[in-house]
Amino acid sequence: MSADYAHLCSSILEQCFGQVVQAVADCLFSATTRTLSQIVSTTQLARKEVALALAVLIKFRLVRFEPSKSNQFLPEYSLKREDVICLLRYSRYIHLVQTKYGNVGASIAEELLNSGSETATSCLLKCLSDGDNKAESAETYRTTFIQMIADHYIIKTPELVTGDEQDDCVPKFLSNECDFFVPPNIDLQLLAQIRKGDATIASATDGGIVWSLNFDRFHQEFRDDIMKLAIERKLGETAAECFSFILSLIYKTTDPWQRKASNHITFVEIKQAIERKSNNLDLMKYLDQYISLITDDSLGFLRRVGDMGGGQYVIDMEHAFESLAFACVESVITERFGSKATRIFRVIRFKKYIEQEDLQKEAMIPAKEAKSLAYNLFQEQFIHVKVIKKPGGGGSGPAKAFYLFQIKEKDTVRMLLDNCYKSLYNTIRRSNFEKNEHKGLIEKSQRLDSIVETMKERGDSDDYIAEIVETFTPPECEILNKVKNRIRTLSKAELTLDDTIFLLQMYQHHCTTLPTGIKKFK
Amino acid sequence: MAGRGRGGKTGSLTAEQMQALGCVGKDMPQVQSAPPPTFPPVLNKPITLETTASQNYQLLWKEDFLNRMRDSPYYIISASQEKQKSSVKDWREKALERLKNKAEPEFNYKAMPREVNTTSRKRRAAEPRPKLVAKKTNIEDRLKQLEQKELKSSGDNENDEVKQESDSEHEDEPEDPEAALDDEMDEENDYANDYFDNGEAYNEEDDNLDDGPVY
Amino acid sequence: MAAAEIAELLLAVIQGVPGGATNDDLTKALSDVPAASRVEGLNVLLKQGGIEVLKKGEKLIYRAKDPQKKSALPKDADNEEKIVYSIVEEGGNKGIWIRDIRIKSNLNMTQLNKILKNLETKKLIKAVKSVNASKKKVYMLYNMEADRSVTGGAWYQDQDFEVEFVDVLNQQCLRFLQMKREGAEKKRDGPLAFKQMSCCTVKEVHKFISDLGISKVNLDEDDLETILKTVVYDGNAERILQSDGTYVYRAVNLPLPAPGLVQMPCGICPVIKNCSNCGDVTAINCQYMNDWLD
Repeated sequence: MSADYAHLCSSILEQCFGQVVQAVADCLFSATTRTLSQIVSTTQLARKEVALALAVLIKFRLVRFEPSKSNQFLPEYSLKREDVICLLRYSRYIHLVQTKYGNVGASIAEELLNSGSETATSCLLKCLSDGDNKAESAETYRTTFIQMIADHYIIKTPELVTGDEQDDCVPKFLSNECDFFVPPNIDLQLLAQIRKGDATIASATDGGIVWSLNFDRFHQEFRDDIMKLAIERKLGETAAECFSFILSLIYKTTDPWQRKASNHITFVEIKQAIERKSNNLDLMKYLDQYISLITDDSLGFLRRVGDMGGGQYVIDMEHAFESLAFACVESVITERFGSKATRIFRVIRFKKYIEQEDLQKEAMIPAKEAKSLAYNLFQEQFIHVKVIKKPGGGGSGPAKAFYLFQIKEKDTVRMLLDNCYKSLYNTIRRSNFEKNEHKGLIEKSQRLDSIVETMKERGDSDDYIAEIVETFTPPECEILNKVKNRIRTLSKAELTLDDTIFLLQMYQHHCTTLPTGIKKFK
Repeated sequence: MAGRGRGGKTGSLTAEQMQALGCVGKDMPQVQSAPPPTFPPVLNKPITLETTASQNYQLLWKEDFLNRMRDSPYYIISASQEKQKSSVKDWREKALERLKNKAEPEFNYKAMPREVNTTSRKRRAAEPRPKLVAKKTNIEDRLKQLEQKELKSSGDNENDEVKQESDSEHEDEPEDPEAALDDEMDEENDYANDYFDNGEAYNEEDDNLDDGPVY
Repeated sequence: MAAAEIAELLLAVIQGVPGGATNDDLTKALSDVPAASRVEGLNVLLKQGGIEVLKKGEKLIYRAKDPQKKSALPKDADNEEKIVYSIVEEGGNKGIWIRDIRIKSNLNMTQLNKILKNLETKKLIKAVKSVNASKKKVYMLYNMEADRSVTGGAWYQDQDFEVEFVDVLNQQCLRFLQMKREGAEKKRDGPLAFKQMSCCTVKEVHKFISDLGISKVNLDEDDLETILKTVVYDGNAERILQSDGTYVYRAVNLPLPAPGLVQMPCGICPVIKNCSNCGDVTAINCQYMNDWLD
């Protein structure tokens, strides 16, 4: 975890939860675990404030706690650092659910995000009481909720172990992989009674079963979309459809977050699945060709590993995300240093190690330009230099050294990822600045809007309303629009930046052994 | 920093390395006598792509979400932090005012360590800490001071009409049924309750200029 | 065009045709040069002794003379000149560095410089700048054609790398690959047929480029393979190994749209390293950010 990521986390938390939570999280970020008292003394905040901040962080599943090894009654807290950035992805999660399950699904997901985690009954009650959702029946909500569990977008959180009074200093949880996705019993009649006030939520039978959104299931979908889109761009829609069938078959036997490669799948299995579910005639007719097209492509998504069942294949996650991450790195180099620099970068990557002189010849770039581009790439740590020392002849002369350019892929990606974190931090910081700078104006316009609204409700004359609206002068209007545009541009940049971050994080998961915290179940 | 204004262990080459990499003679970066510009010219402008429907959805949702969070009880404003910078009246202070309208936070305290439950009575039995109580009283004091200050400063900034309004609201406060209830049931003047639940009436006036929604 | 230039062009054409060029060859190759100028150019070459005229049946054939014959050392040359000349001669078409001449000849620098200058003015030897090191001059016999390793081959003009030439060829090669791909897209007979149809052999590309007539110099297939590799390195094409050991090339699309990082200034910022919460470069006072936001 880099300093850039620490800054980013800090600003994300400040944006969502304010400065107290930010200070507590900053303190936790820099340590493995901390006790409440340690946080109090580090942050200089009141104990109550720290306790409240911890409660918020636990509620939003950003802090975990465990009893201290030396004292089982003393909880120690740690920040789930890699999950902080998920706060920025909430809008993406909601959008995905909206696409898949419509507004009902979106409202369930939103409720689960707001509460961190809750029982099915309580979640549905809140959804149903929301004014916007009156049109949909409780039945629809229940079906959608259960479907989202079946599709693993909703997961059961570890169950609270209820024990002696003594124990509740540090609550303990029991998690059982087998019932992560076992649907709860949601009693619609009881739901109706509670809504009428004839019963209380305490009488619901699913009291102890608490659900939350399974972020990594969403991440799986995002990741698969990247792969499908890449195939579509390179090999066309039908090849992409073919690949998405292969993906869904793979998940029957493979943990989606298996790091290097998936388990085996045979041609026959793919063929059967496609015959059952696809109505793409072109795909059915040329299935073998599409598979060899994907297998032969330089992206390296699919690898043939045997001949059983008409050919055995694995999805090569490592190769796939190496290709994709470097396509991204190369695009960045093109924009930042020009296409000739990208050519140089690719030559080095292709040759593994290359001397300056060979580099310029291979890239067909004049010596001076090639040197300066390579130098810039080196300065900014996109490429690296390997030194091979040769002992001096006869021991008298100085040791002769060869300098070869190379790319330490993991380092390059990590550097770029840190750049992304810094950039994202910058957008948040700049956005806060813009809001603060024009705070008066923004508030004035908001006040005006609410006044006008009230006047309309009251039925005031249009002339009178227009008069009020005119108190907002044209220059003010102009500035306000400008600021709003700025903030919007920055917000959009936050979204698109996260695409790059996500891609590079996938590289780290599939192409390195770094801990990423990504799991099928959390 | 010397030379090109960049340094750092990883980013510099020795003369020997430069030679080996062919950076000699006219190929050497020119010696610079003046510091480089803070913002040197760039090759390209950032690429602009059209905003997709999906992005629009997400942008709207996110704006909404952040506003909601800022108005939620989970957006914690620190009394002790505020105190230090209360001379600067910024949005945080406004947010503090808004806090008074915030809903009660919902925590499943059963699933959290007991010590983080600031509303628990058990806690006091389990770990009596007179020191802590003293501190809490402090916070209460500070909070009250802060409230006074806020009212004063808002009075300074706004016109007389508004001042009167907020004053009258202030007078209403003790009559607020929930606040009264709080006093009644919480012997210790619980931080969370006191923080989030006094002054419900604040937003009822349409033209209470200080309480506009957050941007 | 000056007569000398035309002469050079003519010589290049004549050298390019094994066994000698006919008048027709010359007319075809230099169609834009008027006949009178061509004759003038040929006269220059004949006077220099660079070519000879042979009669083959009814036709005249112009053939490049063996260079060795032309620049024989005159009889009045002194001993030192002879020594230096023979050392340079040994260097062949790769040339020899002045330091090596000095060591081999055992002459002092002033003397050697004088002799070299002398031989140069007599057009017996020439100095050629090597592309490998711009300061390194090598000497070779006057009408020796310098080796590729010295001149850099087709891509160098007077030891200067012809960036634009290479760029144009790169673009044209890519254009050809893309045209081929578009053509293949129209007829869909399964994905593999499409893929095969969008692949180009070096030969095809060579023909396309030759037909375009954009190159003054003769480019062989190896030259074009070099260019095609740059298209691959640019990420615009892929190189596919065939069963016979040769490669074919095919235009491809990038697998990703523009990354989010370069959709905002920080992704292309040259001073991002200096960017922090304070100092000259911050997100608040950033010039790039300001330009982008307005």
